[in-house]
Amino acid sequence: MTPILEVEDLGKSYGGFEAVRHLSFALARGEVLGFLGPNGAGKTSTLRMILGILKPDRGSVRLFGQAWSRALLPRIGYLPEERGLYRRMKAAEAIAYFARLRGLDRAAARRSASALLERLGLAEAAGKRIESLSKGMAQKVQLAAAIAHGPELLILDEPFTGLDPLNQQAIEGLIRERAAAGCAVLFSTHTMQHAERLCRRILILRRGEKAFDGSIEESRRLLPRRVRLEASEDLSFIAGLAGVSRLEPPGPGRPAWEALLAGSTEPGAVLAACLARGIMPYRFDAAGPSLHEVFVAIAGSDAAAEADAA
Amino acid sequence: MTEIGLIAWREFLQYLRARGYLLTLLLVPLWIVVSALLHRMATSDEPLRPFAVVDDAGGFIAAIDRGLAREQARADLEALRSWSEANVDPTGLGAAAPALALLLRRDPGDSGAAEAFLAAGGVDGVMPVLQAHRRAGAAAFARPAFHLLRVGAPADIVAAARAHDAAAMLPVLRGARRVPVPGGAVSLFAIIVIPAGFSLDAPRLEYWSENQTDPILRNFLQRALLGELRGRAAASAGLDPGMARKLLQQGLDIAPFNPANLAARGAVTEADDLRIFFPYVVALLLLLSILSIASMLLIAVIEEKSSRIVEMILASVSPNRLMAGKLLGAAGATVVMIIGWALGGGGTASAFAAIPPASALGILLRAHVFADLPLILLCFLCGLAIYTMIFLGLGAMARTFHEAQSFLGPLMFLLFAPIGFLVIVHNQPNGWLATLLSFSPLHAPFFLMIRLARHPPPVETALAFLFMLLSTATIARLMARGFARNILRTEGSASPWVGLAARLRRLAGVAES
Repeated sequence: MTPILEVEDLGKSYGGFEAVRHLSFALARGEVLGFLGPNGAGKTSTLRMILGILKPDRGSVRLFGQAWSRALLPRIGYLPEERGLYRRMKAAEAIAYFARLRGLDRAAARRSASALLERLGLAEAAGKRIESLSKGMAQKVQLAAAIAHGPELLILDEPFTGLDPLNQQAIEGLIRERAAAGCAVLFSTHTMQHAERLCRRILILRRGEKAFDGSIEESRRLLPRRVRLEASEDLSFIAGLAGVSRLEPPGPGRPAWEALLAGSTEPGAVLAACLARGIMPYRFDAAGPSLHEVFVAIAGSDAAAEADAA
Repeated sequence: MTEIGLIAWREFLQYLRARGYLLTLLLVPLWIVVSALLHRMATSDEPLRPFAVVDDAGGFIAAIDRGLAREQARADLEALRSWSEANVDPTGLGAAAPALALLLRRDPGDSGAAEAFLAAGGVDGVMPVLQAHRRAGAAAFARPAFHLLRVGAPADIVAAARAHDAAAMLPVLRGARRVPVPGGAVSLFAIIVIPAGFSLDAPRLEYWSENQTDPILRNFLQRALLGELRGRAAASAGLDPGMARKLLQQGLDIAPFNPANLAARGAVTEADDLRIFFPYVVALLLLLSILSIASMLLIAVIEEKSSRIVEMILASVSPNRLMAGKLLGAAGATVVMIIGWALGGGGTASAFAAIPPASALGILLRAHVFADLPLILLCFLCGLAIYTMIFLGLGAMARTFHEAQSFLGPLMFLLFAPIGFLVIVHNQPNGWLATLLSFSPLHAPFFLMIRLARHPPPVETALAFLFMLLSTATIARLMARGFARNILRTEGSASPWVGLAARLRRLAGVAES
């Protein structure tokens, strides 16, 4: 099947700073791709180049199987990172205006605006001016403005910023709906939980370059398996077990023993060793690494501070 | 509707809903109404200045009365001239009463015009002829009020004036005591004492009044009595009094003829003045439009930029289309504003001047102002486009309102700088300065339009128009490029010098390596 979006060897520099370097990836119909990276990694520049807002210094973008052209833009929906709408416009009017800019006729734009407002629980706000809406409501209106024309490719730059959990859930639902209907979704985020919940595939950018492109499971496999144990006895013997590459004792910020497993060592071997010594751990956690850990490991020191802050 | 049309329509509606726009729209008609009201109040409430004359020299009261009649005739002629311009068929009048038609075209201030009008019988004498050629629905002629009245002074006041008894004169000059006149009584504005021996050798008279700043009566006395004194001196030198008056008062009647007025065989009329004046009104409208619309545009661009709405728009519309839409929206709002001003301002002006709208249009048609209209409109549109594009470019460059304001100062200076040359260009419409300003990219639209009715050399005009169109296109191109480059820039410096410095540093780096 022809990908909806193909990015090939994309590059962009600002003065002497290379914001995006040799970036290539593709996005299929109905796929949700998490576009991850620390601040300044080149996410927004990439999204802007896909939309033609920025001109790439090198590389190419293909949309819907065709070479990039402005005529294809009405088939894309875009929610920028920093958001704003005309303050004095009414909510329904603003949604319909952007839908019409992307090719819908007046009646269809109005119908779509009403349906989306209803879907987002904002039917009562249709006639209200944007300036009178709360931040969360205004953000939902802006998302509606990005999708009201029924795009085949949806580009969302940090769509969850500033939203409370309930609104985040509503927007996640909307994204899932669009994807199920065949819309390809490319969204950037700093919040790994959203990526874990929404995507099967992620792309991590580091200093303008692609650092990882694959499924979340694949990304987890990049890090060694880890076992966490808590017991009243001393567990330092685990360090000497075969297949254990490292053992960290409990300490500040780490309430449990953490054992890193080498190669194909099964976590059950560690538990079996404890039981053999008559030790019954009151906690045994053999879950794989979180996406947060994967992100920090891949994005490196650039992301560490940011991730800690988050 | 196309993307440009949608953006233009949204911008247009945004202007129409803006309070500042509505205020500006109302401002011009309001200003005309207030000015007309104040003018009418000032003229209708202008006080009558009754004055008494103590003539110890003898014979000067008659000279003052003759002067008063002349002044009244001059005021009547002026009012009649304006009234007939709007309400009398000039062709019919010119055929039936050519002398009267000619008299009505003369400047009432010209020497001999008032005398000729008096000789024709004044208002009562000429009105039957004018009525015969009055247009249907024409307003009635209202004779202007005259504000000087000579009254006879009571004997005790005459005595007090002669004795310089200020205390005795004060009540009558202050209104505490009134002097009887036919039909009532008035307080005196001034008492004039013409002493015995008053002559060209001793031209001193006394002017008693509490109001020494009002020049009306003082100026009148200057004209009336100085003429009389000169006449008497000439007569005493043996000249015939009539000849003496003619020698002393007769001025030249310089009849203006312009060879360019082929249809009128060179005759210059008020319509010619109107044709010259009309582009100044349009230039003023252009200036007002730029000041009101362009600054609103600047603020709107900065708001869109700072709230990042522009990024949403640019995801589906090119910067050039966005700019074109904004330009069209601003142009539409300007057109509505000017139509509003024309209807509101023209309507109120017409109402206050007692000229029916159809007659006002007729005056403009007779003045052939519409012959120049296509080129005047072209100048207007180019001027509006140039400044709107500049404001759009500045809005894109500026990161904050404060920064935009810092750009406004120099731009306003450039816009207003040539106003000081307006008088020179008016007097020498085809001089070197006028030519120079017609080739100034930022000012050509203004100066070209005001020169159009002054018959500038055809080749120069064609070149200047070509230059104006090229300037407009170049400015549009430059500003479009700046707009596209800077509209998304909200942080870091928008200065082109910083970009240039970065390039130079890179070049230096390449050279070193």
